[in-house]
Amino acid sequence: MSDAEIVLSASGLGKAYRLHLRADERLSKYVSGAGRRGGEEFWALKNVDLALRRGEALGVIGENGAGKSTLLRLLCGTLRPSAGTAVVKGRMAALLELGSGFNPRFTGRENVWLNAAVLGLSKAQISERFGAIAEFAGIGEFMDLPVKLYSSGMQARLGFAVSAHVDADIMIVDEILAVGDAAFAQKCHRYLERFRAKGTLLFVSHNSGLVAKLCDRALWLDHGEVRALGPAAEVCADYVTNIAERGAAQEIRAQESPGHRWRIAEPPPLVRDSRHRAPNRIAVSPFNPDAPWHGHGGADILEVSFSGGGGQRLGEITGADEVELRIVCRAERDLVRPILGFLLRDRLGQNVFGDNTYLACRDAPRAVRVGETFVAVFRFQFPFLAPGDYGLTVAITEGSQEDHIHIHWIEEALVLNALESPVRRGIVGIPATDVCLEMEGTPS
Amino acid sequence: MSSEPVVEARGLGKAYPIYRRPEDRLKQLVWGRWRRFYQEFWAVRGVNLCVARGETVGIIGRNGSGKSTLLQMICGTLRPSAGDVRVGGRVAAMLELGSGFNPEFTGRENVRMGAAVLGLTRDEIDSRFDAIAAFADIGAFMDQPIKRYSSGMHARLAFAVCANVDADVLIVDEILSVGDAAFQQKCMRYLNRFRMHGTMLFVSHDSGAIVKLCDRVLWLDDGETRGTGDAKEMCRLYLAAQAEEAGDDAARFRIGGRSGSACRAAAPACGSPDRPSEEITRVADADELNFDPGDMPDVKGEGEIESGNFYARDGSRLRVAGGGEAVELRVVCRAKRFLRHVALAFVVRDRLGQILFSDDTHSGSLHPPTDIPDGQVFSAKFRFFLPHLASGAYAVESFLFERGLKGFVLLDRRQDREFLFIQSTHISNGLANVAMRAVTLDVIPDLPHRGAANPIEKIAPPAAVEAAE
Repeated sequence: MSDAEIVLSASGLGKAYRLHLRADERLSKYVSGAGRRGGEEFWALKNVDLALRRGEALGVIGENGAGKSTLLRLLCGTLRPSAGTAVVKGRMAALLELGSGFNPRFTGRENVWLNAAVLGLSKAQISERFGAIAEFAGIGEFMDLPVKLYSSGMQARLGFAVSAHVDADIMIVDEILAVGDAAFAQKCHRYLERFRAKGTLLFVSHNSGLVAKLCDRALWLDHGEVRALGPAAEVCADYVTNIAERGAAQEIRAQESPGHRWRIAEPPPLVRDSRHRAPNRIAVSPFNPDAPWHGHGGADILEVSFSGGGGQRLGEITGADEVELRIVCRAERDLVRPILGFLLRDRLGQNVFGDNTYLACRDAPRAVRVGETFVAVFRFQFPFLAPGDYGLTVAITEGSQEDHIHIHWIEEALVLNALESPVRRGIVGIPATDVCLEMEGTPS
Repeated sequence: MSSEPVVEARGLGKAYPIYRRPEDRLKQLVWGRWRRFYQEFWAVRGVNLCVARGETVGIIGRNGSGKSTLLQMICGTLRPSAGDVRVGGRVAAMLELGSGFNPEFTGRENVRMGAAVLGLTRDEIDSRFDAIAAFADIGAFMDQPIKRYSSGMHARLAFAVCANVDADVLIVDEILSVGDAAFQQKCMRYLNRFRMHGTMLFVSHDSGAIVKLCDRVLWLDDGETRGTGDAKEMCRLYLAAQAEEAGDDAARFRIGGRSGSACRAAAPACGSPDRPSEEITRVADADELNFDPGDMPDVKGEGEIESGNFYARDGSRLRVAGGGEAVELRVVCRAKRFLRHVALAFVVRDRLGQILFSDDTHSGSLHPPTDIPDGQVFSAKFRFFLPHLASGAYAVESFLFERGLKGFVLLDRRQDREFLFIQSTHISNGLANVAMRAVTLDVIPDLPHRGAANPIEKIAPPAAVEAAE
């Protein structure tokens, strides 16, 4: 590829700070004439070389304090490098830490105008797009209140909304999706997926799964230095392994969409733990179509049941049984990509386990025509459950894993009650294949 | 337990003036109370909330629904425009808006200042400073100005102060996702202990955390109460509302069905917490190894757990797992005297500190009791298939017991040392997912006409299309 396509580059980029001294140290240094500049130099970022081509998406990963934000600020020009240079070609919209770029005393509306103008939009363009920006942000009347009154979620919403409407060539997104609610995160995601098709993206996140999914390449920063730069999937995998190896690791957040490596692991062989002499008897209620439900309509869930091997409906399951969960639906309109799924929730409403047909059908989406009846079957070994009540939520949705609408969603379509259980502690029982106690060598 | 409310808000509201034109602001100054040139915008309006001592109340709602504003009014950093709020006792708040720290001052200075603001005397602060520093665990950064802190360090310090001021009411605003895995476990242990006697208000977008931690939930929507009641029920309704927003055809959206648990109307209600013990879910036989990992006596020593690591089937150390694989958890111990009839146990905890699964060498007594000579290194090996856990860090805690005359005595306990990292490959965010042997989606060729009494009985078993593999 030719150099002309490179829209963002950095060579030998670095930033150094002087560490603060305690007041007494500062005084003694001043008095002794050692200079007022204070303590030792600390390189927050050192020697970063980077070249990003048009249309490329680069993820930046690293722990807290690894220099991710420093790098972005150097690239945006809000921070002056202590060493090296950064060159950017094109219009760059940056979502740095929360609140940066906003004047907290001005209202949301004023900040939108200000920011969009700074990014090079004309007055006419801004007034034309203001409605779209406000709608994307979805913060309602807060638009006319000073930004200092915004929660972090609202600031993120407004920041993203502006960046998404300034025809940026390069977009820099720093960890912003973490503070929004689920609906907003979905909206941002959808936008970034679309933006990727034409623009250049620099994406910073702790969530290496998300980086692997959104980005082509990833840059791993470690204590201010480049640890790796390469294909996103590989770098992210190395990063996670490294974190784990150091034992007490920093900041791995629960990542709900691991992204790039969808696969269903080999199902384990059937295991029956002979110690679990007390059977795990679980009563299963009949299907209750009148349980709380919601949805946009388009299909109806007609029947939900557990069955054994022979196909007969089970009124009781024993933990470790091989079971089939069947969800029968009828389409009331043509469905392009229906996904059927279930979730078993405990007394509190926590998701214990669940699955859906998205993966099974991803490569061969099964369209369903109006009036057709269709069935999803999930076959698995039922786990041991702690005693108590459980609700089985079933749903039919349409779309993809990240972006879908609920067609028909029934909470507690079946109620399960674990009457007897060998599970003493915890949410589920794990059947052990072997448990033993052994001596290691001779006494020392 | 006293049913007297600790936090009581009546008709609480906060209004801000919105000036449509900048000159209106000036006109308002001139006209004063005689004329109004602004519109009122109510960020929070008419909220009634009554929290009894010992209760944990969650607050949910989308961005901009007024959650943070409400919390700020409750902890007194924002003056309400309407209604009143009364708080009985010392409130410690971990808010995202204005943590109260001064960025120019060092951590040490901020700790002293923060604790003083919360009403601690100089002596109390002196005596607790070490505990705060130990909880925060940020080392030499304690003497650096806060503006140099990463967000994780900032949160550590804020939490450490709040955890050491004997607060009656704790207000936590979406702070659980900061800090590393060990710190999160520490925070959750603290919060779970605090919940036993203290009152907590808790804001989060993580519905798993809400249903796990909260007795009741207040759902705010556009600054007003959309509902209060049972946490599970409110989260269900909130999910339905989000689903409505996600679709492009809101007119078609329907909601229905009857719920078992009643959803109370938006009225002040002082619920009394009813929280069954969660750690022990079954009354054990006399001979069983029965322990509550949440409430353990001090360790006796005389035996030491040296490690508790996961290994893959090929014998290599397993630090990152995908879920579903065959694993061996090996707990290695050393006896410091002759031990008679030892038992080892482990628990695996999730991000909220709750136990997902557990096992021990004693249950079922597959293996005969083992006597261990003095100085002997010995290990317990648990082989099983890992469930499909959600991505994240999981704490592995292990325990060493010796059987005495009155049952098992804890010799050693190891926590916050070992973590298993999961990079999930599973599609669901369940706590412990199971692997499917087959997943199929099929159209049923010809089902009789609509309205069949019981369609399932007329369905032939679907052709076995095993699409999952």
